[in-house]
Amino acid sequence: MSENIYHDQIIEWSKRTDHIASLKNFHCKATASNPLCGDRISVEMELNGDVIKSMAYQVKGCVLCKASSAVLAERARGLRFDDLNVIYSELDKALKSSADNPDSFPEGYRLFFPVRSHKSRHSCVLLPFNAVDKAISEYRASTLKEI
Amino acid sequence: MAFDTKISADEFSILRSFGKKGAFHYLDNAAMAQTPDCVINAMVEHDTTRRSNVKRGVHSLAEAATAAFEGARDTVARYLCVKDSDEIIFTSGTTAGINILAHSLGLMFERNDEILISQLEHHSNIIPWQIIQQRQGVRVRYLPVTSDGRINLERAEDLIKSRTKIVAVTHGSNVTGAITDVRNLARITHEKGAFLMLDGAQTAPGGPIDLPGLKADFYLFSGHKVFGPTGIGILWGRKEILEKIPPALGGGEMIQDVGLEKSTFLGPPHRFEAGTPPVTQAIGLAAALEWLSRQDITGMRNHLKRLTLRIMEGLSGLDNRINILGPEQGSERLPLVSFSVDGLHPHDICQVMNDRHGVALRGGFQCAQPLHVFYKLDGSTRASLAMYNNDKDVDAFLNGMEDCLKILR
Repeated sequence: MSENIYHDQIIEWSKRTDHIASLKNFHCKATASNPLCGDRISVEMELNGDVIKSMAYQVKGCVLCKASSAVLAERARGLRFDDLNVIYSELDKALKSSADNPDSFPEGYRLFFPVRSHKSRHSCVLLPFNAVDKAISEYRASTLKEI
Repeated sequence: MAFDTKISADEFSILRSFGKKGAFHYLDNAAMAQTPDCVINAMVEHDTTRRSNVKRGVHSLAEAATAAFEGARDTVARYLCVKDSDEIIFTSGTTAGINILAHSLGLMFERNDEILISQLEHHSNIIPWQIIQQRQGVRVRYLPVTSDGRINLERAEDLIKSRTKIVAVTHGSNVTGAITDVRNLARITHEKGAFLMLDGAQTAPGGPIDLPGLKADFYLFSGHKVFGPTGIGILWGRKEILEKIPPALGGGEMIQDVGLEKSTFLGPPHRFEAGTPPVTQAIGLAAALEWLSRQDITGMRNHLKRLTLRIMEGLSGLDNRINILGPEQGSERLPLVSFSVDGLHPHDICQVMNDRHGVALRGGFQCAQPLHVFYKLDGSTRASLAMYNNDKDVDAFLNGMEDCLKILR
Protein backbone atom coordinates (compact mmCIF):
# COMPACT_ATOMS: atom_id res chain seq x y z
CA MET A 1 0.00 0.00 0.00
CA SER A 2 1.26 3.47 -0.81
CA GLU A 3 1.82 6.69 1.14
CA ASN A 4 -1.40 8.20 2.50
CA ILE A 5 -2.12 11.38 0.60
CA TYR A 6 -5.37 12.07 2.44
CA HIS A 7 -3.81 13.35 5.61
CA ASP A 8 -5.67 15.65 8.01
CA GLN A 9 -4.28 18.87 6.58
CA ILE A 10 -5.45 18.06 3.05
CA ILE A 11 -8.87 16.94 4.25
CA GLU A 12 -9.15 20.13 6.30
CA TRP A 13 -8.22 22.39 3.37
CA SER A 14 -10.63 20.52 1.08
CA LYS A 15 -13.49 21.50 3.37
CA ARG A 16 -12.70 25.22 3.43
CA THR A 17 -15.22 27.39 1.70
CA ASP A 18 -13.74 30.87 2.37
CA HIS A 19 -13.33 31.73 -1.29
CA ILE A 20 -16.09 29.65 -2.84
CA ALA A 21 -18.12 32.53 -4.21
CA SER A 22 -18.72 34.77 -7.20
CA LEU A 23 -17.06 38.18 -7.32
CA LYS A 24 -19.20 41.20 -8.03
CA ASN A 25 -16.37 42.91 -9.86
CA PHE A 26 -13.93 40.67 -11.62
CA HIS A 27 -11.54 41.39 -14.46
CA CYS A 28 -10.96 37.89 -15.67
CA LYS A 29 -12.43 34.42 -15.36
CA ALA A 30 -11.90 30.96 -16.79
CA THR A 31 -12.93 27.35 -16.37
CA ALA A 32 -10.67 24.30 -16.49
CA SER A 33 -11.76 20.69 -16.43
CA ASN A 34 -10.23 17.25 -16.33
CA PRO A 35 -11.87 14.98 -18.91
CA LEU A 36 -10.73 11.83 -17.12
CA CYS A 37 -12.53 12.37 -13.86
CA GLY A 38 -14.93 15.22 -14.56
CA ASP A 39 -13.34 17.70 -12.17
CA ARG A 40 -14.18 21.28 -13.06
CA ILE A 41 -13.16 24.60 -11.55
CA SER A 42 -14.23 28.09 -12.51
CA VAL A 43 -12.21 31.02 -11.19
CA GLU A 44 -12.84 34.76 -11.11
CA MET A 45 -10.19 37.33 -10.22
CA GLU A 46 -10.25 41.00 -9.39
CA LEU A 47 -7.03 42.68 -10.51
CA ASN A 48 -5.04 45.80 -9.97
CA GLY A 49 -2.78 45.93 -12.98
CA ASP A 50 -0.94 42.63 -12.91
CA VAL A 51 -1.59 42.10 -9.20
CA ILE A 52 -4.37 39.78 -8.02
CA LYS A 53 -6.60 41.65 -5.56
CA SER A 54 -8.89 38.72 -4.88
CA MET A 55 -9.84 35.34 -6.25
CA ALA A 56 -13.05 33.35 -5.94
CA TYR A 57 -13.95 29.98 -7.38
CA GLN A 58 -16.57 27.30 -7.84
CA VAL A 59 -15.28 23.74 -7.86
CA LYS A 60 -16.65 20.26 -8.51
CA GLY A 61 -13.82 17.93 -7.79
CA CYS A 62 -11.96 15.51 -5.59
CA VAL A 63 -10.41 16.26 -2.21
CA LEU A 64 -7.05 17.15 -3.81
CA CYS A 65 -8.59 19.54 -6.31
CA LYS A 66 -10.70 21.20 -3.62
CA ALA A 67 -7.75 21.52 -1.24
CA SER A 68 -5.51 22.95 -3.95
CA SER A 69 -8.22 25.44 -4.97
CA ALA A 70 -8.61 26.60 -1.38
CA VAL A 71 -4.85 27.02 -0.87
CA LEU A 72 -4.43 28.88 -4.15
CA ALA A 73 -7.34 31.26 -3.51
CA GLU A 74 -6.04 31.95 -0.01
CA ARG A 75 -2.51 32.68 -1.19
CA ALA A 76 -3.28 34.44 -4.49
CA ARG A 77 -4.18 37.78 -2.95
CA GLY A 78 -1.40 40.32 -3.58
CA LEU A 79 0.55 38.09 -5.97
CA ARG A 80 1.76 39.37 -9.30
CA PHE A 81 1.07 37.25 -12.39
CA ASP A 82 4.76 36.44 -12.63
CA ASP A 83 4.90 35.35 -8.97
CA LEU A 84 1.97 33.04 -9.59
CA ASN A 85 3.66 31.57 -12.64
CA VAL A 86 6.75 30.83 -10.58
CA ILE A 87 4.67 29.01 -7.94
CA TYR A 88 2.82 27.07 -10.65
CA SER A 89 6.08 26.04 -12.26
CA GLU A 90 7.73 25.12 -8.95
CA LEU A 91 4.73 23.09 -7.85
CA ASP A 92 4.62 21.25 -11.16
CA LYS A 93 8.35 20.56 -10.96
CA ALA A 94 8.16 19.43 -7.32
CA LEU A 95 5.31 17.02 -8.08
CA LYS A 96 7.32 15.47 -10.89
CA SER A 97 10.54 15.36 -8.89
CA SER A 98 11.76 12.15 -7.32
CA ALA A 99 13.46 14.17 -4.54
CA ASP A 100 12.33 12.99 -1.12
CA ASN A 101 12.21 16.50 0.24
CA PRO A 102 9.05 18.46 1.12
CA ASP A 103 11.06 21.68 0.91
CA SER A 104 11.15 21.32 -2.85
CA PHE A 105 7.46 22.36 -2.77
CA PRO A 106 6.57 26.08 -2.77
CA GLU A 107 5.68 27.55 0.58
CA GLY A 108 2.08 26.79 1.47
CA TYR A 109 1.96 23.77 -0.85
CA ARG A 110 4.04 21.31 1.15
CA LEU A 111 0.89 19.51 2.22
CA PHE A 112 0.83 18.11 -1.31
CA PHE A 113 4.22 16.42 -0.89
CA PRO A 114 2.72 12.88 -0.63
CA VAL A 115 0.93 13.39 -3.96
CA ARG A 116 4.23 13.33 -5.87
CA SER A 117 4.28 9.52 -6.00
CA HIS A 118 0.76 9.42 -7.46
CA LYS A 119 1.37 10.66 -10.98
CA SER A 120 -2.24 10.30 -12.08
CA ARG A 121 -3.29 12.68 -9.28
CA HIS A 122 -0.92 15.54 -10.17
CA SER A 123 -3.53 16.99 -12.49
CA CYS A 124 -6.00 17.19 -9.57
CA VAL A 125 -3.61 19.50 -7.69
CA LEU A 126 -2.72 21.52 -10.76
CA LEU A 127 -6.24 22.01 -12.17
CA PRO A 128 -6.89 25.28 -10.23
CA PHE A 129 -3.60 26.63 -11.59
CA ASN A 130 -4.66 25.66 -15.12
CA ALA A 131 -7.83 27.72 -14.65
CA VAL A 132 -5.99 30.74 -13.24
CA ASP A 133 -3.35 30.52 -15.96
CA LYS A 134 -6.08 30.42 -18.62
CA ALA A 135 -7.89 33.39 -17.07
CA ILE A 136 -4.69 35.46 -16.98
CA SER A 137 -3.71 34.50 -20.54
CA GLU A 138 -7.13 35.47 -21.85
CA TYR A 139 -7.05 38.71 -19.86
CA ARG A 140 -3.62 39.58 -21.24
CA ALA A 141 -4.75 38.79 -24.77
CA SER A 142 -7.83 40.98 -24.42
CA THR A 143 -5.88 43.93 -22.96
CA LEU A 144 -3.34 43.67 -25.77
CA LYS A 145 -6.18 43.88 -28.30
CA GLU A 146 -7.47 47.04 -26.65
CA ILE A 147 -4.02 48.62 -26.99
CA MET B 1 -18.23 -28.62 -6.61
CA ALA B 2 -17.55 -24.96 -5.85
CA PHE B 3 -15.31 -23.05 -8.23
CA ASP B 4 -11.73 -23.18 -6.96
CA THR B 5 -10.28 -19.65 -7.11
CA LYS B 6 -7.07 -20.78 -5.37
CA ILE B 7 -6.09 -22.84 -8.41
CA SER B 8 -6.86 -19.92 -10.73
CA ALA B 9 -4.93 -17.35 -8.67
CA ASP B 10 -1.91 -19.65 -8.39
CA GLU B 11 -1.50 -19.51 -12.15
CA PHE B 12 -0.77 -15.76 -12.02
CA SER B 13 2.70 -14.64 -10.91
CA ILE B 14 1.50 -11.09 -10.38
CA LEU B 15 -1.19 -12.18 -7.92
CA ARG B 16 1.27 -14.37 -6.01
CA SER B 17 3.94 -11.66 -5.80
CA PHE B 18 1.59 -8.85 -4.81
CA GLY B 19 -0.12 -11.11 -2.29
CA LYS B 20 3.20 -11.54 -0.48
CA LYS B 21 3.66 -7.77 -0.15
CA GLY B 22 0.45 -7.28 1.84
CA ALA B 23 -3.21 -6.77 1.20
CA PHE B 24 -3.92 -6.77 -2.52
CA HIS B 25 -7.39 -7.06 -4.00
CA TYR B 26 -7.52 -6.46 -7.73
CA LEU B 27 -11.03 -5.37 -8.66
CA ASP B 28 -10.23 -3.50 -11.87
CA ASN B 29 -10.60 -6.43 -14.24
CA ALA B 30 -13.01 -4.67 -16.58
CA ALA B 31 -10.17 -2.28 -17.43
CA MET B 32 -7.53 -4.97 -17.70
CA ALA B 33 -7.50 -8.57 -16.55
CA GLN B 34 -4.28 -10.13 -15.26
CA THR B 35 -2.36 -12.54 -17.45
CA PRO B 36 -1.68 -16.15 -16.40
CA ASP B 37 1.88 -17.43 -16.57
CA CYS B 38 1.07 -19.85 -19.39
CA VAL B 39 0.20 -16.90 -21.65
CA ILE B 40 3.41 -15.05 -20.80
CA ASN B 41 5.36 -18.27 -21.33
CA ALA B 42 3.74 -18.83 -24.72
CA MET B 43 4.89 -15.39 -25.86
CA VAL B 44 8.40 -15.90 -24.49
CA GLU B 45 8.57 -19.26 -26.21
CA HIS B 46 7.49 -17.70 -29.49
CA ASP B 47 10.00 -14.86 -29.29
CA THR B 48 12.82 -17.21 -28.30
CA THR B 49 12.14 -19.96 -30.83
CA ARG B 50 10.05 -18.66 -33.75
CA ARG B 51 10.45 -14.87 -33.87
CA SER B 52 10.23 -13.69 -37.43
CA ASN B 53 8.00 -11.62 -39.64
CA VAL B 54 5.02 -13.48 -41.04
CA LYS B 55 3.80 -14.20 -44.57
CA ARG B 56 6.97 -12.75 -46.13
CA GLY B 57 10.03 -14.94 -45.74
CA VAL B 58 10.51 -18.50 -46.88
CA HIS B 59 13.10 -19.39 -44.26
CA SER B 60 12.37 -21.78 -41.44
CA LEU B 61 11.68 -19.15 -38.80
CA ALA B 62 9.29 -17.28 -41.08
CA GLU B 63 7.44 -20.51 -41.85
CA ALA B 64 7.18 -21.38 -38.16
CA ALA B 65 6.07 -17.87 -37.18
CA THR B 66 3.48 -17.77 -39.96
CA ALA B 67 2.10 -21.16 -38.95
CA ALA B 68 1.86 -20.04 -35.30
CA PHE B 69 0.24 -16.72 -36.28
CA GLU B 70 -2.36 -18.35 -38.53
CA GLY B 71 -2.86 -21.01 -35.87
CA ALA B 72 -3.69 -18.22 -33.45
CA ARG B 73 -6.32 -16.99 -35.90
CA ASP B 74 -7.86 -20.49 -35.93
CA THR B 75 -7.95 -20.48 -32.11
CA VAL B 76 -9.81 -17.17 -32.07
CA ALA B 77 -12.30 -18.52 -34.63
CA ARG B 78 -12.95 -21.54 -32.40
CA TYR B 79 -13.48 -19.25 -29.36
CA LEU B 80 -16.06 -17.31 -31.33
CA CYS B 81 -17.63 -20.50 -32.72
CA VAL B 82 -17.13 -19.41 -36.32
CA LYS B 83 -16.01 -21.83 -39.01
CA ASP B 84 -14.01 -19.53 -41.28
CA SER B 85 -10.90 -18.04 -39.70
CA ASP B 86 -10.64 -15.63 -42.66
CA GLU B 87 -13.32 -13.68 -40.80
CA ILE B 88 -10.89 -13.00 -37.94
CA ILE B 89 -8.96 -9.73 -38.30
CA PHE B 90 -6.15 -9.01 -35.87
CA THR B 91 -6.13 -5.43 -34.60
CA SER B 92 -4.38 -3.74 -31.71
CA GLY B 93 -7.55 -3.72 -29.58
CA THR B 94 -11.26 -2.99 -29.64
CA THR B 95 -10.71 0.74 -30.15
CA ALA B 96 -8.47 0.12 -33.15
CA GLY B 97 -10.97 -2.43 -34.48
CA ILE B 98 -13.89 -0.02 -34.34
CA ASN B 99 -11.77 2.66 -35.98
CA ILE B 100 -10.75 0.28 -38.77
CA LEU B 101 -14.37 -0.70 -39.30
CA ALA B 102 -15.66 2.88 -39.16
CA HIS B 103 -13.07 4.23 -41.55
CA SER B 104 -13.33 1.30 -43.97
CA LEU B 105 -17.10 0.93 -43.96
CA GLY B 106 -17.35 4.72 -43.90
CA LEU B 107 -15.85 4.83 -47.38
CA MET B 108 -19.12 3.27 -48.57
CA PHE B 109 -21.39 5.76 -46.78
CA GLU B 110 -23.17 8.56 -48.57
CA ARG B 111 -24.27 11.94 -47.29
CA ASN B 112 -27.32 11.72 -44.98
CA ASP B 113 -26.76 8.04 -44.27
CA GLU B 114 -27.22 7.25 -40.59
CA ILE B 115 -25.20 5.43 -37.97
CA LEU B 116 -27.07 4.33 -34.86
CA ILE B 117 -25.20 3.89 -31.60
CA SER B 118 -26.38 4.41 -28.02
CA GLN B 119 -25.81 6.79 -25.14
CA LEU B 120 -24.47 3.82 -23.17
CA GLU B 121 -21.36 3.38 -25.32
CA HIS B 122 -17.71 3.49 -24.37
CA HIS B 123 -16.00 6.47 -26.01
CA SER B 124 -14.28 4.05 -28.39
CA ASN B 125 -17.68 3.33 -29.93
CA ILE B 126 -18.69 6.99 -30.13
CA ILE B 127 -15.70 8.99 -31.32
CA PRO B 128 -14.82 6.95 -34.46
CA TRP B 129 -18.39 7.36 -35.73
CA GLN B 130 -18.42 11.07 -34.88
CA ILE B 131 -15.23 11.45 -36.94
CA ILE B 132 -16.97 9.76 -39.89
CA GLN B 133 -19.94 12.08 -39.32
CA GLN B 134 -17.71 15.15 -39.54
CA ARG B 135 -15.81 13.81 -42.54
CA GLN B 136 -18.66 12.56 -44.67
CA GLY B 137 -21.80 14.34 -43.63
CA VAL B 138 -23.49 11.22 -42.29
CA ARG B 139 -25.54 11.47 -39.14
CA VAL B 140 -24.86 9.68 -35.86
CA ARG B 141 -28.02 8.97 -33.90
CA TYR B 142 -28.37 7.55 -30.42
CA LEU B 143 -30.53 4.89 -28.83
CA PRO B 144 -31.49 6.22 -25.40
CA VAL B 145 -30.71 4.55 -22.09
CA THR B 146 -33.25 3.18 -19.61
CA SER B 147 -33.10 4.21 -15.96
CA ASP B 148 -31.66 0.78 -15.07
CA GLY B 149 -28.71 1.31 -17.39
CA ARG B 150 -29.73 -0.68 -20.46
CA ILE B 151 -29.99 0.39 -24.06
CA ASN B 152 -33.65 1.24 -24.66
CA LEU B 153 -34.28 -1.28 -27.41
CA GLU B 154 -37.97 -0.34 -27.59
CA ARG B 155 -36.81 2.70 -29.57
CA ALA B 156 -34.96 0.58 -32.12
CA GLU B 157 -37.98 0.22 -34.42
CA ASP B 158 -38.30 4.02 -34.64
CA LEU B 159 -34.64 4.87 -34.89
CA ILE B 160 -33.45 2.24 -37.37
CA LYS B 161 -34.47 3.59 -40.74
CA SER B 162 -33.80 2.75 -44.36
CA ARG B 163 -30.95 5.31 -44.25
CA THR B 164 -29.33 3.50 -41.30
CA LYS B 165 -26.18 1.75 -42.46
CA ILE B 166 -24.94 0.29 -39.21
CA VAL B 167 -26.20 -0.20 -35.67
CA ALA B 168 -23.12 -0.28 -33.45
CA VAL B 169 -23.76 -0.99 -29.79
CA THR B 170 -22.13 -2.55 -26.79
CA HIS B 171 -22.78 -6.20 -26.10
CA GLY B 172 -22.24 -5.49 -22.39
CA SER B 173 -21.79 -2.14 -20.68
CA ASN B 174 -18.46 -1.39 -18.99
CA VAL B 175 -20.32 0.92 -16.57
CA THR B 176 -23.74 -0.53 -15.81
CA GLY B 177 -22.91 -4.17 -16.48
CA ALA B 178 -26.11 -4.52 -18.52
CA ILE B 179 -25.98 -7.18 -21.21
CA THR B 180 -27.67 -6.16 -24.43
CA ASP B 181 -30.43 -8.47 -25.65
CA VAL B 182 -29.44 -8.49 -29.30
CA ARG B 183 -31.92 -10.99 -30.73
CA ASN B 184 -34.64 -8.48 -31.59
CA LEU B 185 -32.10 -5.81 -32.40
CA ALA B 186 -30.45 -8.07 -34.99
CA ARG B 187 -33.83 -8.83 -36.58
CA ILE B 188 -34.90 -5.17 -36.79
CA THR B 189 -31.46 -4.09 -38.00
CA HIS B 190 -31.37 -6.66 -40.77
CA GLU B 191 -34.97 -6.00 -41.83
CA LYS B 192 -33.93 -2.41 -42.52
CA GLY B 193 -30.87 -3.57 -44.44
CA ALA B 194 -28.30 -2.32 -41.92
CA PHE B 195 -25.36 -4.08 -40.31
CA LEU B 196 -25.15 -4.90 -36.60
CA MET B 197 -21.86 -4.38 -34.78
CA LEU B 198 -21.37 -5.53 -31.20
CA ASP B 199 -18.62 -4.20 -28.95
CA GLY B 200 -17.72 -7.38 -27.08
CA ALA B 201 -14.90 -5.95 -24.96
CA GLN B 202 -16.75 -6.79 -21.74
CA THR B 203 -18.55 -9.97 -22.82
CA ALA B 204 -15.68 -11.88 -24.44
CA PRO B 205 -13.96 -12.49 -21.04
CA GLY B 206 -16.98 -14.52 -19.92
CA GLY B 207 -16.06 -17.57 -22.00
CA PRO B 208 -16.48 -18.72 -25.61
CA ILE B 209 -18.99 -16.68 -27.58
CA ASP B 210 -21.68 -18.22 -29.77
CA LEU B 211 -21.36 -15.64 -32.53
CA PRO B 212 -23.64 -17.40 -35.05
CA GLY B 213 -26.35 -17.34 -32.38
CA LEU B 214 -25.98 -13.59 -31.87
CA LYS B 215 -26.74 -12.89 -35.56
CA ALA B 216 -24.39 -9.93 -35.56
CA ASP B 217 -22.35 -8.84 -38.56
CA PHE B 218 -19.32 -7.53 -36.67
CA TYR B 219 -17.98 -8.32 -33.20
CA LEU B 220 -14.92 -6.91 -31.48
CA PHE B 221 -12.90 -7.56 -28.36
CA SER B 222 -9.51 -6.86 -26.78
CA GLY B 223 -6.75 -9.21 -25.67
CA HIS B 224 -6.05 -7.45 -22.39
CA LYS B 225 -9.54 -8.07 -21.08
CA VAL B 226 -9.51 -11.81 -21.85
CA PHE B 227 -6.37 -12.47 -19.76
CA GLY B 228 -4.16 -11.92 -22.80
CA PRO B 229 -1.54 -9.31 -23.67
CA THR B 230 -2.04 -5.67 -24.53
CA GLY B 231 -1.75 -4.44 -28.12
CA ILE B 232 -3.97 -7.13 -29.62
CA GLY B 233 -7.65 -7.30 -30.41
CA ILE B 234 -10.08 -8.89 -32.80
CA LEU B 235 -12.45 -7.53 -35.39
CA TRP B 236 -14.70 -10.31 -36.62
CA GLY B 237 -16.92 -9.73 -39.61
CA ARG B 238 -19.02 -11.85 -41.92
CA LYS B 239 -16.84 -12.75 -44.87
CA GLU B 240 -19.39 -11.83 -47.52
CA ILE B 241 -19.52 -8.32 -46.02
CA LEU B 242 -15.78 -7.97 -45.43
CA GLU B 243 -15.14 -8.86 -49.07
CA LYS B 244 -17.13 -5.81 -50.16
CA ILE B 245 -15.53 -3.30 -47.80
CA PRO B 246 -12.55 -1.32 -49.10
CA PRO B 247 -9.55 -1.05 -46.78
CA ALA B 248 -8.94 2.28 -45.05
CA LEU B 249 -5.34 1.50 -44.14
CA GLY B 250 -2.73 0.55 -46.70
CA GLY B 251 0.73 -0.97 -46.64
CA GLY B 252 2.54 -4.27 -46.84
CA GLU B 253 0.79 -7.59 -46.18
CA MET B 254 -2.57 -6.38 -47.51
CA ILE B 255 -1.87 -6.05 -51.22
CA GLN B 256 -2.27 -8.31 -54.21
CA ASP B 257 -0.63 -6.21 -56.86
CA VAL B 258 0.95 -2.77 -56.59
CA GLY B 259 1.26 -0.40 -59.51
CA LEU B 260 2.21 3.26 -59.70
CA GLU B 261 -1.30 4.23 -60.73
CA LYS B 262 -3.40 1.65 -58.95
CA SER B 263 -3.09 -1.29 -56.59
CA THR B 264 -5.30 -4.23 -55.78
CA PHE B 265 -5.85 -5.77 -52.40
CA LEU B 266 -6.01 -9.21 -50.89
CA GLY B 267 -9.26 -10.59 -49.56
CA PRO B 268 -10.18 -10.57 -45.90
CA PRO B 269 -8.70 -10.76 -43.34
CA HIS B 270 -5.38 -9.62 -44.85
CA ARG B 271 -6.75 -6.53 -46.61
CA PHE B 272 -7.48 -5.10 -43.15
CA GLU B 273 -4.08 -5.98 -41.64
CA ALA B 274 -1.70 -3.51 -43.27
CA GLY B 275 1.88 -3.72 -42.06
CA THR B 276 3.52 -6.19 -39.71
CA PRO B 277 0.81 -7.51 -37.41
CA PRO B 278 1.21 -7.93 -33.64
CA VAL B 279 2.53 -11.47 -34.05
CA THR B 280 3.72 -12.21 -30.51
CA GLN B 281 0.57 -10.69 -29.03
CA ALA B 282 -1.56 -12.86 -31.34
CA ILE B 283 0.26 -15.93 -30.00
CA GLY B 284 -0.42 -14.66 -26.47
CA LEU B 285 -4.07 -14.02 -27.23
CA ALA B 286 -4.50 -17.54 -28.57
CA ALA B 287 -2.84 -18.97 -25.45
CA ALA B 288 -5.18 -16.87 -23.28
CA LEU B 289 -8.29 -18.04 -25.13
CA GLU B 290 -7.16 -21.66 -24.95
CA TRP B 291 -6.51 -21.25 -21.21
CA LEU B 292 -9.88 -19.57 -20.70
CA SER B 293 -11.66 -22.28 -22.67
CA ARG B 294 -10.13 -24.92 -20.38
CA GLN B 295 -11.71 -23.33 -17.30
CA ASP B 296 -14.96 -24.47 -15.73
CA ILE B 297 -16.96 -21.73 -17.45
CA THR B 298 -20.28 -22.54 -15.77
CA GLY B 299 -18.58 -22.71 -12.37
CA MET B 300 -16.76 -19.45 -13.08
CA ARG B 301 -19.96 -17.65 -14.11
CA ASN B 302 -21.82 -18.85 -11.01
CA HIS B 303 -18.89 -17.84 -8.82
CA LEU B 304 -18.78 -14.35 -10.34
CA LYS B 305 -22.55 -14.00 -10.14
CA ARG B 306 -22.44 -14.80 -6.42
CA LEU B 307 -19.61 -12.34 -5.72
CA THR B 308 -21.32 -9.63 -7.76
CA LEU B 309 -24.51 -10.12 -5.77
CA ARG B 310 -22.52 -9.92 -2.52
CA ILE B 311 -21.06 -6.58 -3.61
CA MET B 312 -24.48 -5.22 -4.57
CA GLU B 313 -26.11 -6.39 -1.35
CA GLY B 314 -23.19 -5.15 0.75
CA LEU B 315 -23.18 -1.71 -0.85
CA SER B 316 -26.95 -1.38 -0.58
CA GLY B 317 -26.83 -2.00 3.14
CA LEU B 318 -23.84 0.22 3.81
CA ASP B 319 -25.10 3.75 3.40
CA ASN B 320 -28.15 5.36 1.84
CA ARG B 321 -25.90 7.82 -0.03
CA ILE B 322 -24.77 4.96 -2.29
CA ASN B 323 -26.49 4.65 -5.65
CA ILE B 324 -25.78 1.49 -7.67
CA LEU B 325 -25.95 1.94 -11.43
CA GLY B 326 -27.38 -0.65 -13.78
CA PRO B 327 -29.82 -3.55 -13.66
CA GLU B 328 -31.43 -4.21 -10.31
CA GLN B 329 -30.21 -6.87 -7.92
CA GLY B 330 -30.94 -10.36 -9.21
CA SER B 331 -31.07 -9.36 -12.89
CA GLU B 332 -28.48 -10.71 -15.28
CA ARG B 333 -25.41 -8.49 -15.49
CA LEU B 334 -21.69 -8.60 -16.09
CA PRO B 335 -19.51 -9.22 -13.02
CA LEU B 336 -19.03 -5.53 -12.32
CA VAL B 337 -20.74 -2.97 -10.11
CA SER B 338 -20.52 0.78 -10.66
CA PHE B 339 -21.85 3.14 -8.04
CA SER B 340 -21.89 6.74 -6.96
CA VAL B 341 -21.84 8.10 -3.42
CA ASP B 342 -23.58 11.43 -2.88
CA GLY B 343 -20.99 14.03 -1.95
CA LEU B 344 -17.96 11.84 -2.59
CA HIS B 345 -15.66 11.94 -5.59
CA PRO B 346 -14.80 8.59 -7.26
CA HIS B 347 -11.08 9.34 -7.27
CA ASP B 348 -11.13 10.00 -3.53
CA ILE B 349 -12.84 6.66 -2.98
CA CYS B 350 -10.37 4.85 -5.25
CA GLN B 351 -7.37 6.48 -3.59
CA VAL B 352 -8.47 5.66 -0.04
CA MET B 353 -9.42 2.12 -1.03
CA ASN B 354 -5.99 1.60 -2.56
CA ASP B 355 -3.92 3.34 0.08
CA ARG B 356 -5.63 1.97 3.16
CA HIS B 357 -7.08 -1.34 1.99
CA GLY B 358 -5.09 -2.48 -1.04
CA VAL B 359 -8.26 -2.57 -3.15
CA ALA B 360 -7.80 -1.60 -6.82
CA LEU B 361 -10.92 0.06 -8.29
CA ARG B 362 -11.71 2.30 -11.24
CA GLY B 363 -13.22 5.76 -10.85
CA GLY B 364 -14.23 8.65 -13.08
CA PHE B 365 -16.18 8.71 -16.32
CA GLN B 366 -14.95 5.21 -17.17
CA CYS B 367 -14.68 6.35 -20.81
CA ALA B 368 -18.46 6.81 -20.89
CA GLN B 369 -19.10 10.52 -20.35
CA PRO B 370 -22.46 10.68 -22.19
CA LEU B 371 -23.81 7.90 -19.96
CA HIS B 372 -22.74 9.84 -16.87
CA VAL B 373 -24.41 12.94 -18.27
CA PHE B 374 -27.60 10.85 -18.57
CA TYR B 375 -27.25 9.88 -14.90
CA LYS B 376 -26.35 13.52 -14.00
CA LEU B 377 -23.14 12.26 -12.41
CA ASP B 378 -19.60 13.63 -12.58
CA GLY B 379 -18.26 10.10 -12.46
CA SER B 380 -18.74 6.75 -10.77
CA THR B 381 -16.66 4.10 -9.04
CA ARG B 382 -16.45 0.55 -10.34
CA ALA B 383 -15.52 -2.80 -8.84
CA SER B 384 -15.07 -5.46 -11.50
CA LEU B 385 -14.36 -9.13 -10.93
CA ALA B 386 -12.48 -11.97 -12.56
CA MET B 387 -12.40 -15.66 -11.75
CA TYR B 388 -9.41 -15.33 -9.40
CA ASN B 389 -11.33 -12.98 -7.08
CA ASN B 390 -12.84 -14.49 -3.96
CA ASP B 391 -14.85 -13.68 -0.85
CA LYS B 392 -11.81 -12.13 0.83
CA ASP B 393 -11.65 -9.58 -1.98
CA VAL B 394 -15.33 -8.75 -1.51
CA ASP B 395 -14.87 -8.53 2.28
CA ALA B 396 -11.92 -6.16 1.79
CA PHE B 397 -13.97 -4.06 -0.62
CA LEU B 398 -16.99 -3.76 1.67
CA ASN B 399 -14.91 -3.15 4.81
CA GLY B 400 -12.85 -0.63 2.88
CA MET B 401 -15.95 1.19 1.68
CA GLU B 402 -17.24 1.44 5.23
CA ASP B 403 -13.92 2.98 6.30
CA CYS B 404 -13.88 5.22 3.23
CA LEU B 405 -17.30 6.64 4.02
CA LYS B 406 -16.08 7.55 7.51
CA ILE B 407 -12.82 9.13 6.37
CA LEU B 408 -14.27 11.17 3.53
CA ARG B 409 -17.44 12.17 5.34
